[in-house]
Amino acid sequence: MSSRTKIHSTKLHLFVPGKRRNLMDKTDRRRSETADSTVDTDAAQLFDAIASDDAEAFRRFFDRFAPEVLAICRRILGHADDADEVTSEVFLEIWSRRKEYDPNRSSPRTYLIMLARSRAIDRLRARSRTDVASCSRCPPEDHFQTDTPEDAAVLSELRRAAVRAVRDLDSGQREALSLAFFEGLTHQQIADRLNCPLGTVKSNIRRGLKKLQHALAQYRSEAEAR
Amino acid sequence: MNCRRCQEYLEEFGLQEESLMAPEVRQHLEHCAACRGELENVREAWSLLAIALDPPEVPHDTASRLMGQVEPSSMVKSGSRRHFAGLFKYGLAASILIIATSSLMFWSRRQATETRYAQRQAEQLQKQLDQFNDWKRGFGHPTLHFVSLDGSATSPTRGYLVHDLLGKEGHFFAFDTAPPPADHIYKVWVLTNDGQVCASAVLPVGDGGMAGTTLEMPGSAAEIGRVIVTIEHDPHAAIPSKDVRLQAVVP
Repeated sequence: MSSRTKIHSTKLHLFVPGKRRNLMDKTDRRRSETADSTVDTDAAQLFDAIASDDAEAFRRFFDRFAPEVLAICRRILGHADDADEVTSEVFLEIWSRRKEYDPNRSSPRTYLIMLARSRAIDRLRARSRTDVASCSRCPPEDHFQTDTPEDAAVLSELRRAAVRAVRDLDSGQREALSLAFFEGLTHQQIADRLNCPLGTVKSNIRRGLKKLQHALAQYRSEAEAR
Repeated sequence: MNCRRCQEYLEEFGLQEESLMAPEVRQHLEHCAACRGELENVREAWSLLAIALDPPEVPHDTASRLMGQVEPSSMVKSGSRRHFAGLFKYGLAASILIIATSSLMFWSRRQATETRYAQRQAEQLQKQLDQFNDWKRGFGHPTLHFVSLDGSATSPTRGYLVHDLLGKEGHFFAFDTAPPPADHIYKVWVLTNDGQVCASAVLPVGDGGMAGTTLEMPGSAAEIGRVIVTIEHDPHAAIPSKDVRLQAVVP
């Protein structure tokens, strides 16, 4: 039998030209069964539909995640017009590379956030040094969601967990993480910017990340318990 | 590179796009599920910084401008009316098969966690049917190749193979299929012009004599010389038996 030969199970494969689909795929099943977040499950379904050229699903995906992407772009670029433009570029890239997304490698939300961050930082680096300086004047804390009772009522559970996790970071950790994430600085550049030892920066980032991971794990276990 | 060094690297460069990471790290990540999982964990933790941001209001015209640039790739192309009639038949047949098989799957899985799957399947099914309807309305698609298989003169069984040239997949379905003899199965074989097997798959038969399966296929229809369905005793048989029940010579 040639190497191309493959015996398939009795599972139903619905097909879309150019894209393999198995509706009962085990990975999808695990993803769906975890109580990680309904949003992520919905996003995975939307991504599936987008991969099948469903423009309406793409519109829904945009409506759902555009505020998040725009927030990242505005935070990184500090300029509304640029942020709007990069946001559009990010979603266009999602559409143009819709067949390439691999759900086994990354959740849709993380994929989107990383893509948005990356494209915004590319734009930031392409801009003049003056623009970078003006952006860096924005204190990172000002951009984080405040956790007032009114806000809490409308925040999604994941966002509430994120707000809490970021708020619980030490100021040194938050500052180092923000500079790395939103400005794309290396550890050495952060140390130079903050005028502190490289070891301190590494330690702040490592500990800060551990705290965020712990918060995420806690959020997930609470979500599963519900 | 070992896992410890890889994870040290990811501590500083985990936010980088993978294409920009050091080649040895990329190579390690390709083969190490633990480090890949760690990378995803770290990125999810970083993502909290973004999720915690104030979500601004998206300008009203952004969505409309974006959607103006997004043209769903058309599934409908011009072609002959004869092809349209064939597509109509195959599209309809495939739709019926999909509905029936999906229904079977829905009812065979009753656990509570399946509810979400059922919804998802229904959505996908609807999408699939919409797609078939697109084809039905149109005149064909250059990346699809249809093969119709005949049985014996006295047998009502007919089979169809939809060859997705772009996805390199074949979707086979048959109607009025009698159950195979005890301890035997049906198997679909795709043979090259010189009789070599280039794809095969077991063909399960469901209620109502409907049967369907999927095969990995070559990307070109020119490589295919013959498609047959045989009765086999061994599901893993590498060579088709002489007991051919359906066949088609591909022009």
